[in-house]
Amino acid sequence: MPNPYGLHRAPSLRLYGVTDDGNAVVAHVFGFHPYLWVPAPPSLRPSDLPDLCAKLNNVVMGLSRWGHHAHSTARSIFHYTAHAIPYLKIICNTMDHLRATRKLCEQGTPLLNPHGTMTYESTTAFPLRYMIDTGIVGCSWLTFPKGTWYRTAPNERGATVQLEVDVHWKSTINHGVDGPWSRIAPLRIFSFDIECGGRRGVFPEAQIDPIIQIANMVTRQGENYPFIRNIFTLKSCSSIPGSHVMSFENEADMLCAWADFFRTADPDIVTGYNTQNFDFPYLLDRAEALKIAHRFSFLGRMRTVKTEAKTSRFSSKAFGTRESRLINTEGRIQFDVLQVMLRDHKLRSYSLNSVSYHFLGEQKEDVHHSIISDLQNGNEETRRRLAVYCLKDAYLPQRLLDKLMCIINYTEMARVTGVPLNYLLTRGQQIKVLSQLHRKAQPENFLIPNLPGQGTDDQYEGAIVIEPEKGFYADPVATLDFNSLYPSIMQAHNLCYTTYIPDDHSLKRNGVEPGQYVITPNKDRFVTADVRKGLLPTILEDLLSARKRAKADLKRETDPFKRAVLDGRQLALKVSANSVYGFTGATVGKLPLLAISSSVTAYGREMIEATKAHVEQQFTRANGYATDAKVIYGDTDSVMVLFGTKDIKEAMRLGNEAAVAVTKTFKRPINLEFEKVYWPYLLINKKRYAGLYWTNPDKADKMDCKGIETVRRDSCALVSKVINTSLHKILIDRDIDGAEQFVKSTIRSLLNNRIDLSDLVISKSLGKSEYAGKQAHNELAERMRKRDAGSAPAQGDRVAYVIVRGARNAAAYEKAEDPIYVLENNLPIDTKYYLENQLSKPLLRIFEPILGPVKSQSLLSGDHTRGVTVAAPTTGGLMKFAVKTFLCPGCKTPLKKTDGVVCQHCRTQAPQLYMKQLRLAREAEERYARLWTQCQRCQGSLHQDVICTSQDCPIFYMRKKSQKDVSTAMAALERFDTSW
Amino acid sequence: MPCHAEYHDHGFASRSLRFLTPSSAEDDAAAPIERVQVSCTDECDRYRIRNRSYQQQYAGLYYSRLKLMRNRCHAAAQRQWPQIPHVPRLLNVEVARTCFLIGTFFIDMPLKTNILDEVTQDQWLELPPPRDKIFSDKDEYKLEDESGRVVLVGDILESHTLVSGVIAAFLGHELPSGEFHVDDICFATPGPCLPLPPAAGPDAPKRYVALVSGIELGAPNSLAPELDLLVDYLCGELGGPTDAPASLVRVIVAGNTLTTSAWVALSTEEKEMAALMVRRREKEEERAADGVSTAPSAAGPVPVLETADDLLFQLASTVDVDVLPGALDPATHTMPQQPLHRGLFPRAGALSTFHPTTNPYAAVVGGRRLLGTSGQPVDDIFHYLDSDDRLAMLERTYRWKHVAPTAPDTLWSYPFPDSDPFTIDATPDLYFAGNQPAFATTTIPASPDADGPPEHPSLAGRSVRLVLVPSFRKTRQFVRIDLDTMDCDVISISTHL
Repeated sequence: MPNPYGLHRAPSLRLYGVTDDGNAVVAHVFGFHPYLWVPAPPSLRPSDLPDLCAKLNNVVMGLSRWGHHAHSTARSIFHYTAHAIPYLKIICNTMDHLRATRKLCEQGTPLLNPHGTMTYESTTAFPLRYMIDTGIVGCSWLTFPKGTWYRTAPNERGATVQLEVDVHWKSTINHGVDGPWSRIAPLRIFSFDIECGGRRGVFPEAQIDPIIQIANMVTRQGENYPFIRNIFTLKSCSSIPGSHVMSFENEADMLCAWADFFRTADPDIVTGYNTQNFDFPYLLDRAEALKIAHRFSFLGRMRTVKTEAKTSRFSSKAFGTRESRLINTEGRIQFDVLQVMLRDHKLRSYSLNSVSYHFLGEQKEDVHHSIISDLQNGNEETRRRLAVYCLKDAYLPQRLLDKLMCIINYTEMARVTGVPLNYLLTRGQQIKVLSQLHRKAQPENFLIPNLPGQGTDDQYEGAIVIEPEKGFYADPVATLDFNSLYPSIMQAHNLCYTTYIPDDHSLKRNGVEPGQYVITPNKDRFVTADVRKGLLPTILEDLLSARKRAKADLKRETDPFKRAVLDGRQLALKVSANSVYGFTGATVGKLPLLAISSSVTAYGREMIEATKAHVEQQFTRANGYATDAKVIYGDTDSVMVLFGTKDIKEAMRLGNEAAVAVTKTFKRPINLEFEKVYWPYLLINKKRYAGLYWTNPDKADKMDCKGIETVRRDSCALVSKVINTSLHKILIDRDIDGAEQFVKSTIRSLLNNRIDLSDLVISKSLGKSEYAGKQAHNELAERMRKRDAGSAPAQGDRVAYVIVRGARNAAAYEKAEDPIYVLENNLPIDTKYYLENQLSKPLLRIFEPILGPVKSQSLLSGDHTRGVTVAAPTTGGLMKFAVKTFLCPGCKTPLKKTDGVVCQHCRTQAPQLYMKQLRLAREAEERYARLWTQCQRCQGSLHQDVICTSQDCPIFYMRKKSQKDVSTAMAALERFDTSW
Repeated sequence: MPCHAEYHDHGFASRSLRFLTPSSAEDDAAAPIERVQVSCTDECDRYRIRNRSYQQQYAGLYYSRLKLMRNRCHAAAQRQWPQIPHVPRLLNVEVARTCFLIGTFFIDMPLKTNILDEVTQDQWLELPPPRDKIFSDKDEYKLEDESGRVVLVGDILESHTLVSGVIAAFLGHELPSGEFHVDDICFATPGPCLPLPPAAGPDAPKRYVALVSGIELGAPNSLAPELDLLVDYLCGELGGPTDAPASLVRVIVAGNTLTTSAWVALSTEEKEMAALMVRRREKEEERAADGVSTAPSAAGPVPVLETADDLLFQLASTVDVDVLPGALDPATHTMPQQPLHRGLFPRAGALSTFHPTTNPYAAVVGGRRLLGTSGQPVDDIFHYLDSDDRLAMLERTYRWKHVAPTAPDTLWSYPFPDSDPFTIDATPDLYFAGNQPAFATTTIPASPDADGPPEHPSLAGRSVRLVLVPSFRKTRQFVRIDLDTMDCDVISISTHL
């Protein structure tokens, strides 16, 4: 039987999945067709339909016999309408036909509406359409009952999986995601990393530079360790315990063998670090260059579909615009950990090394690409070393996925929002809301219009901020927070597309009486829930009550894996609820309706104001309270109240009382909650504050900082260290004096060159060279290329630099210098730059509210800034002409030839001077020993030199500096050896 | 002031030597003592660092160590496991086939102090104090050679109490998981021994060497009276009839003659920090840091140096004195420590009998080979092992044929580019560690299997005297070794009656 449904050329969907036993399945779903809706012409009668259908088929599609129409009544989701009107459902054979039909309808056709008409649900992605119509959500379980599915005929089979079947779209059983069906399938995860041979000074290019190693880990989701660990190497490589090494003499053979392995491993999920923009494109381009693409570049589950890298631009309000490569691997989801990091975490650096250190507490050896070629061209031992490094790079992404529970969280997000898993990785926030909206709209006969792209620049007023009363508060400050503020406003006031009344005309036409609608503070009108309950409020209600359930389940659950699932779910629900508001306000989005988002923020502003007024009226001496309460700051969804009490318990009690009292004045489900007390509290500015965070009166939970420079990448580590320590001293030790002293002594150290260089390193990534303006890191990269093309940073690398002393009035970009070069040549640091351009602003921000403008300024210009030490460079400038003489370590006068190590006058002081030098030497010795043994440990080998060049490592520059320091200190000490 | 010295023999029974007043001793001092003369060869040369450089890393030291020890481990393994094949490259080991491997043992210990923790720690958080013991359940045993690493498993590793850096041969087989299961371990063969000196006649004069450590001048609660007695004793101005002063042929001061806080001058910056620390501690109502207040200023003289000079001068005036630098002394810090500068001790330094030496220390005195340290290697190994038996730790370092296996990993050391001076190549007669909390001694056979034929003819029937030299400040004790019998006694000094 060639095809069970006789739908030979019909569009089919493919469902990819695994069974509980881990067998991969692909199901070809037949019988489902794309469709769209248009308003029916008023004159059209049901009996006209067959005729219209035939005409449409003739005129529009010509080729197809499958065009098909239905007639039904429905409402547009957009704006409140009292009565349903007739719509036509035009079912098309293929997506191409659908697109043609949509264009025709929109442009106008005598058959329907000569002036063109709005189309509905005409751009919904086909797979999503299918999932909506069947109620299937992403990452859920399906059963194909016995007898309803057929093995795909052998000549039709195109997939590489174990079981390939044909099913009819209506015959699947959808299990939902609750109870036993909440379990996560044993997906097979393939994590890999490639190493490329390179030429000195050039970033590898696929046309020229070979792939020399590919390390792979295959893991079953839910298990702790990979069940396959192997590496493909070009040229021989010594064995590695616990890993399978496969060596090849020919690169093409290696790549083909790897592709075979990849297809045999048949992963559901492919991961790695930057695989999407580097590893995959490189592999594909390389296969092209070696002319083996016909054997290599079929990495998806469909045999006939070639895997290709396409450039795409991904734009989203939440994530910004990013250019990236799209690689099609049918049936396998690409889960690039770097992309996940960029989406979900705000970090100082996104290198695999620093991400691993951040989340796993582990360093990894970083081998500079100029060394990689040397290792490859060495012997089987050096290649083995490279292989060990490569294997680690393949394993770390897998471990990050596990540690951050990415698979679980993304699975839950797919289930909650109803989109397929890959949408979460490749598309923005909107599709998630749209999917939910579709699912709610369909049963109620609402249709979602395909609005023409608007791209308006309309701005609506943002959230309110009650002007902060800046200062340092030593007394407890209670914080009242609105729970899910925006979702609850939308629920309370029934704000939705389906309840919006755009104008008086529509008010009259739909017969809405006064009292049946509300006017929002933004002067927009929405009908009340009694007239019609909005879809968005319903979605939010579902999401929030599901979240409540998940949280309740979480409390009861003891199994750590199930807990992880539930926690992932409640988080997904929260994020989804919050993104609904953004969806209505996204002006470049699918379905913007600013009346909703503006009203939401307007309500928010009003409520914050109302809360302030209420609290300040009720909690007064006049009403019998000990002191007058004062609202010192309010932000989007929280209000900070200074009740005036010094007792934290009392502050918490009053906070609770206020929250309950204010909540009563608002419409359900808006809920003001007392959440925490800040004590003490340093209010610097709007969205910038720091405080000690208390939720129970006996012990502070943490130090909470908002909007304060701690993760900015373009400032040096010294800034965050000084800020953190100062805040700690101020807030936790309550030692403002100590904080001042600390800042002063740090500044003194800075001016005296005693700050470790790694704390002064600033780094930026090197963009495309054509953009190179007069930027510090670009200029520096250029200079480094001239010095040594081999080790100079390539495009995409991060350039680390420090600012050194330059000519008077030289611009900062001229003074940037490679930290290693600075260390080697003992260049003087421009300490003034660091004081004035890096430290001063953030410091003043913190200290001004506490000390006042005059005194805080003295932090930066007091006595402690007088002593300045400048290192003498060993190269360049006047040093060429200088004659080196030794100075007496005691009185610094130049030594005569007849003197020993000290001058005549200091001779009696010699032992003291010796011991002073000894102390320095001992410190330097120990530092050297500790730093280099640490690196030796970290690289996992004792008998080989450390070659790591990870600039992200906190001790990288220190290590280099210690070599120099100890040599200098020991040389000075050994001058005493003769005698004195 | 009435004083007495107690004399212990090595059975720890004590008897007391009483004398009337110290002044009577002073009278005797007028007459110079004729010391018994013995030959002495300094063998510290291998511990001296020449052409210092820090451009190299530590790999060279490990590499040389393995190269130096491999053949000796191989010889020992062939004696012990005659039928077992050796797999010369770790990575060529085959699953399930019994063999032995030779390599550098290493333990990955999460609790090792890690400079990264300090560097990345926010400055305000005080680091937890260094741990006394750093072993834990999470330790992983590794074996490494030039070709790579394997993970070692097996109960014997738990009981055998090895430390990082030891070179040994491991008998076992590879498991399917890639780990190597260890069934037995053996260490390098001992080196040759000096020939036994001819037996001394009954009337021959006794020859003793005294070992003192941890005087710690400058430390709080100074031991001035006890020190006077110590010096008097060693100078031969004190003692009973059997303790012929002339029989003391050499004094070895095994480190920590001074204490660090006494000679380290604080910079302004550090004083500020110290003051801040004190303030913070006072806030927490803790006692102020000790030692800080006694530190001399940068410019002022260092009185404690004069005291030390005086003490060493007195000693060296009557007997040869070898002074090892210790962790607290004004000398370089990393192993091997270089000799104290003569210039620090102008009076003693002028004497030819004053010998500042390296730490470790090696010499041949009166035909006996002496080897020892100021105690840092044992102190460091102490952190690794689940035991308080320091004597056993000293014994192990002898069995491992390595004075300081944990250097450079946790015992800071100079990065020798192409040598490892710490290996024990010749079998000593005396092997000691200074500055230990309590005295202890034992003798062990020089060869591990005393029954079999010795590895070297000179080793037949020979043994090694192991001594933990107690810290004088903590115990008021020092040790005396009879060079003829290698017997060992501890002598306690007390000013209390």
